[in-house]
Amino acid sequence: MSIDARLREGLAMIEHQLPDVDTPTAYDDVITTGRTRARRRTAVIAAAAATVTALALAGLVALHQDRKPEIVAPPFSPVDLIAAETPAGLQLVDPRDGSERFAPDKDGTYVSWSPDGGQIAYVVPASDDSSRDLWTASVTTQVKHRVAHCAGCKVVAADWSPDGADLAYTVLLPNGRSELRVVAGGATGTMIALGTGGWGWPQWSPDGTTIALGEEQGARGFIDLLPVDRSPLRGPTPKAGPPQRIAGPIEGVKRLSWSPDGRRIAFTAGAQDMTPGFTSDLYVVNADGSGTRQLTHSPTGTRIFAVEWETGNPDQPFLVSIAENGVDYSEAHLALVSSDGSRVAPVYAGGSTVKAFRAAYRF
Amino acid sequence: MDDDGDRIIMGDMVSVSRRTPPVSEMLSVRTSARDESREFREIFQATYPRLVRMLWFVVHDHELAQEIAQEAFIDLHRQWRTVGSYDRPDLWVRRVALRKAQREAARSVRRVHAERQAAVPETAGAADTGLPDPALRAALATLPTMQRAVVALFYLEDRPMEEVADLLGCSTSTGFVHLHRARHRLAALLSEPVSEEVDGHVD
Repeated sequence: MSIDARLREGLAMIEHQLPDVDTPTAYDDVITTGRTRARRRTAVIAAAAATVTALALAGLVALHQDRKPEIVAPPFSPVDLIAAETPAGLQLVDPRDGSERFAPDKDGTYVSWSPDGGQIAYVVPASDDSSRDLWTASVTTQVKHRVAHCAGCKVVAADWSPDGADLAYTVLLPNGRSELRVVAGGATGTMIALGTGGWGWPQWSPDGTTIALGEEQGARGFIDLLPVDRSPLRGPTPKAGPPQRIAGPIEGVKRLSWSPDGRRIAFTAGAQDMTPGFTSDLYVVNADGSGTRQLTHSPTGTRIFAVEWETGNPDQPFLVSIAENGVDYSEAHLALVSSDGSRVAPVYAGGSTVKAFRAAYRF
Repeated sequence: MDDDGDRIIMGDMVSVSRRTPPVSEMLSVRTSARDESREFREIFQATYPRLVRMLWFVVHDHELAQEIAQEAFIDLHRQWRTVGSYDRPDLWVRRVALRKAQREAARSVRRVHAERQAAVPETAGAADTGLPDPALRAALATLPTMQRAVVALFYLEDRPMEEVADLLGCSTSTGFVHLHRARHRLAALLSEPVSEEVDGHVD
């Protein structure tokens, strides 16, 4: 017998003698165990999913908590303050009690608030007024930075873009011409437009697409609009073509303020000198250049220094800084002026020349 | 990971085969079993008994052979939606069972080796006593697991080597190599002549 035959025969004999199997019971066991394990798998998967979900949620919460910036309560709320030029210098003052909260510079002037009220930009002249530098200061940390300086250059005024990213300012050059420059992303100011006269008082439109500029050519004043493109890489650049002149000549065009809808511009204009009897008033002009209107006709000796468009009032009155006794600024105060030019009410009598109050009265 | 998984499976296998379900559970099982696929039941009834016997020649333990076969069918039950669409689900369950048997046989070898080292006498399953041809059974027990499986599939189930190799997850030539070595070893142990040709294949 060969091994093959021995194996076929022997294996068959052994198989024949193996115990019988209980197939029905085995089948039931298989089905029962299969179902039990399926339920167990489902429970395990559900528990795992619940665990993963819980862990993910916990992670998200932890991540959120980690990324949540630590809120450091400032010593005061910037929106409660106004910037005022006082005999002691530039101060940020609480209008409710007149108390000083921050004095950035005793020579600081021409203040502009950042849109969030967290910073101010202001001009500091040299002692002999040979140059004027642009500074910024954090209202909360009180840290100051000089952002623009050149020998013989005089920064006139500055204004933040509506998103707070860019700071536009005008500067008078030693040759008598003026430039519009922009500090974007912390970089040094870049000239984006060259003016023919004395540009001052830049003011971004609410949508950030246009910069309005007050221009002085001797006793004559104008308002120019400069459309700009705002590239994330290059910063603001002027669009092609010369600036659009929408108002003037009007003597002594100073502070500008866009209406919240961007359709009109309010501005102050008046006598330039500081002699007794000068007057400055409130004007408004449509952004397309039409409808220039003098809203106030102040008595001699009354001067409106600055204007802000009140945003929350349907009648759109104006907030103005006003002094009514000529050169004595100690009685200057803030007042509401209605859209027809009539005085409504004084809102702050701080006894100082309030130059910037947007943050304090952002309605 | 496989080892860990197998230990869990083997633990479950013990509970499956040696636990007697209560009558209520049996009734509910039998009632709910009617909902199971008719094809699954038919394949189980046609395949399970023969599979257990074939597995005995691999693991040499009737209880263990049943446990392995049931575990393979539990796997089939779990994947029935997929495997049920195959042409030969029975071959799938055989392949799974053989893989489990090979692993368990290897584990048994390690266990027996450890018991020998601890001077524990080797015990045989009670159901395996009284089987015929103890010389052949003893000779088969000396074969490696793979060779035992090849011998069982080739001589007992009379499957062509292509199918044997497919069930064992190897090539046909590898299957013949295992068969050649098994034949020559068994021939030597049983003092039987061995030809150089088997199934038309020359060794």
